[in-house]
Amino acid sequence: MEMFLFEMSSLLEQLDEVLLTSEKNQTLTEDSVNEVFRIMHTIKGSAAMMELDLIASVTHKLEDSFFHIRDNGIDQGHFTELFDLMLDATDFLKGQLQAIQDGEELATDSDLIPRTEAFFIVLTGEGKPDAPAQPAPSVPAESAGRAAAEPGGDGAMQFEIWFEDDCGMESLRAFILVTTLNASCNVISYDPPDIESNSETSQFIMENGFVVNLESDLTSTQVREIIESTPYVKTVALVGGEDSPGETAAETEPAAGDISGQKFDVLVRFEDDCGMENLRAFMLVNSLRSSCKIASYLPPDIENNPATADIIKRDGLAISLETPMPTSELQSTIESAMYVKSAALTEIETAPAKPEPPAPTAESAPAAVDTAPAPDQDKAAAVKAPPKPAVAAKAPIKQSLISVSLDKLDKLMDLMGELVITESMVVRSPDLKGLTKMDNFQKAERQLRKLTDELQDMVMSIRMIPIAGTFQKHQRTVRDMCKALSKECELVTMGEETDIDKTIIDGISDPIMHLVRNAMDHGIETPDVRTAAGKPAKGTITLSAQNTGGEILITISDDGKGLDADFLLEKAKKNGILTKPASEYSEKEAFMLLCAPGFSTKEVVTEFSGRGVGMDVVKKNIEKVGGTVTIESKKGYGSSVFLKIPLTLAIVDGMDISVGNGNYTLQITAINESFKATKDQVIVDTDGNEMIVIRGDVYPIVRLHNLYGVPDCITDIEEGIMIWVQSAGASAVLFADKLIGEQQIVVKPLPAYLSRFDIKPYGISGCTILGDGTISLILDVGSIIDMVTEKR
Amino acid sequence: MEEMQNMAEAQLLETGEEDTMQNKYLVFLLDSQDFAIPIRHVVDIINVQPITRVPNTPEYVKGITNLRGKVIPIVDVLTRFGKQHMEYNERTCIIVVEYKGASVGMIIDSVSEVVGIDSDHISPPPTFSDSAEAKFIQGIGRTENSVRLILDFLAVLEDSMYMTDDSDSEEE
Repeated sequence: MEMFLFEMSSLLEQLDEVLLTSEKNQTLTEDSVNEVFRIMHTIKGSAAMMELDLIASVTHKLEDSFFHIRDNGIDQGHFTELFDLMLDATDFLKGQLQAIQDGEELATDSDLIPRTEAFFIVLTGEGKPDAPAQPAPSVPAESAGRAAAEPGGDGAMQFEIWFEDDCGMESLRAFILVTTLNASCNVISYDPPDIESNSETSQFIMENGFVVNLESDLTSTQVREIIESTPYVKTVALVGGEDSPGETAAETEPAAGDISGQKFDVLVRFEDDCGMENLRAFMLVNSLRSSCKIASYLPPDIENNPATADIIKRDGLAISLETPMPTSELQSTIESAMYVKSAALTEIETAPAKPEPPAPTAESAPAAVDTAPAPDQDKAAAVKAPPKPAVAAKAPIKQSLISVSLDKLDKLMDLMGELVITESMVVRSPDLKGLTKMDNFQKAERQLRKLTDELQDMVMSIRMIPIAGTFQKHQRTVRDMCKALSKECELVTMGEETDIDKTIIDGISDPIMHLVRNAMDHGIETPDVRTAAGKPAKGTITLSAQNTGGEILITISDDGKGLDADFLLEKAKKNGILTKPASEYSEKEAFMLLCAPGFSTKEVVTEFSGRGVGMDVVKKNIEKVGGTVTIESKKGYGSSVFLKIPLTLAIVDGMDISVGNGNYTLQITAINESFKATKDQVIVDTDGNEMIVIRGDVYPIVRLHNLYGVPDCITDIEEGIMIWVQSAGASAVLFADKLIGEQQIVVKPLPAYLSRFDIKPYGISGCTILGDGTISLILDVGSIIDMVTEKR
Repeated sequence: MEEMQNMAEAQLLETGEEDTMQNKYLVFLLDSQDFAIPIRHVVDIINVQPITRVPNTPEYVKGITNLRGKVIPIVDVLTRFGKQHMEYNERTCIIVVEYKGASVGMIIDSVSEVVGIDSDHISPPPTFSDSAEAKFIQGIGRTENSVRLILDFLAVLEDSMYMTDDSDSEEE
């Protein structure tokens, strides 16, 4: 189930992306239609397997529409309708997935089905007259639709089926029949269409019969046999087409309209431990149906004979098919299916344009398949396996990915940390002191260092995923809000390829969403206001990410009305959250008031933002992943929010300092500078609190040895070292014995056992193991400053 | 000392099976008294190594140490009893026990052996004892020639002063 949900959500995201790009360009390329079709098809298949009937039927309808679009194209005029429908459908599917995840009741009906059907009618009604005859559209009402049905072309057939008079539950019988037919044919539509959900169709079927449009490689006689063997079927009539008993599958194939081309024998092997090979095979065959014409496959009874799983495991799955796709594309299509290990393609009737290694078994298709597990075919696959870049450019880019649980990656990261520590323990071992002839050792040491560095980079990069996915989601947000708020706005994204640690991505996704909504709701003005202000009617929100070395800088900026510092101050005053006279606030400080709890500038609460839990939550979430928030704005010209986020949580640059005999580590990013102070720089107030002036500003001095009660350490302010630190706009100067050095540290949480002692507010956020095996405590500058300011 | 520790550890390994560990106890010396702890709770026995003190913790929490890459907290049992622990020497050991899914180390004077004590040879602790450590004693185990105080290590690790609704809120 987890796998299913994962797959679904990634498919839906893909779908969203395709749709939004298409909508933006106002074109539907062949690629995107195929992509949507493929996605719909996969979702349908998986949903049907998971017995999620509603999802299956909704996607089925949509697939029908896209099937039509693929063959006949679509009129520009229908775009808006199409995209609204599709986006609503993805919303619906996402909602269903969420419901499954949360274990909620699933919807049993959706208005999407009739909507899609209506749309389908519109589509087919305007289909090009000279288009390859499209089997009957599913017109729910009358037999008008039936008459229009012109079966013909690529093995398409229409059957009228009458059930026995007293069988009862005709709709159910019909449904079973359709299901049965689906196993061997491609059922395009049937009439009445809503047999699954509408029991009244029984009456209709009883009176008018049941009409099925299908497409099949089988001859009409074979299909007829299948239908007749279904229980309670009384008579079957092939409508329009001629019964052609003599016709063989091979003969009909060349006549195929859109699906024709090269014939292939494919031997597919699945991953050793995937299990349920027959089901995988079935799904593969089904998904190939969308782009290829499947002539036959071996073993043939995969869908209902579990024993075939073993056969497939042993001999592989042999498919003979016909497709217009080039070899490499077919290969990658098959190999991109789940659990497929390898696919060996053998071309039959080699096309002159494509020089391929001569097919080892160039006999007729089914015969070659019978001798399936030929080892030389496997070898051929191995040779052909490397993707061919020339063709890959055209094919949709599919990466070969596996999903790994984050736990394992965390574990890997831990091990990596151990390795780094152990390495320095070995290399700096005190036992080595005094040894002189160590050439070999040093050589090996350098090699080891190089390998561990490389390994570390690799391990870190595994956890990194591009932020594109997070950004992409907001295209949708902006689009929807534009419609709802009747504003015009465009979302521009930059630096989507920036890689960020997975844990951090999860942490910043919501805050970004919030900021985009804020920009949309509060920032961007309505078109008339914008035009009046001399700005283009269409606003722009820019989402950008860039890697600035140790940090990721994410910017959300809009060219809206900007922030008004005076207004903010007035508002803050009213809410009683000012901590000093309004006149003393700098512009920057005034903007930061936005992030204060209980501050909301928008007078009217809208659907999208302004529920009072605003920027303070954003700030909190960002700080949770170790980041900071700053706001810049120019009244009338827009505002920008900057999120500074550490690249990864697990390994950071740290500065080791010592106090007494203990070691402490500060994050480099928190340190402004360190310096030696003289006694006369230090000011003492009446309570004995020490302060120091740095470039005209006064900062409190925090003596770490006092704070943590460390004995035996330097207390003379001139002998120790001052470290000026800042966190979230607040600053302080720490006093320690000395700086030890800068190094990369692996952040580890403190043992859970200690959490009961309330250590975190004491400025200890975690610990790290140093090269010599001892532990250094990581100081959290933010909470140290909080603690000190509270105390004073 | 080394041998003894190795022996104890070897026995630890041998007694891998749950039922054979049932009545086995690890005997250790603390303040010249023999204590015992059910061996099934014992994860490891290590020598004293550098311990990093953590601020704002009670005195008996000695700090944290690095046990083969894992950071584990260390509790001094004698200090927990309210006595002053003398200087650690080369015999001083840390018994690492499993506590709520994580490891916690307990400092004791030295480990001696692993013995089997039948459950019917364990009697409840004398209730009249007013010594500070009485509340940490689970029972008194008798073997042929000696008496061992069975340490209630949960009582050692858990401290009513710091027990907030501990059960679920281990993190944070």
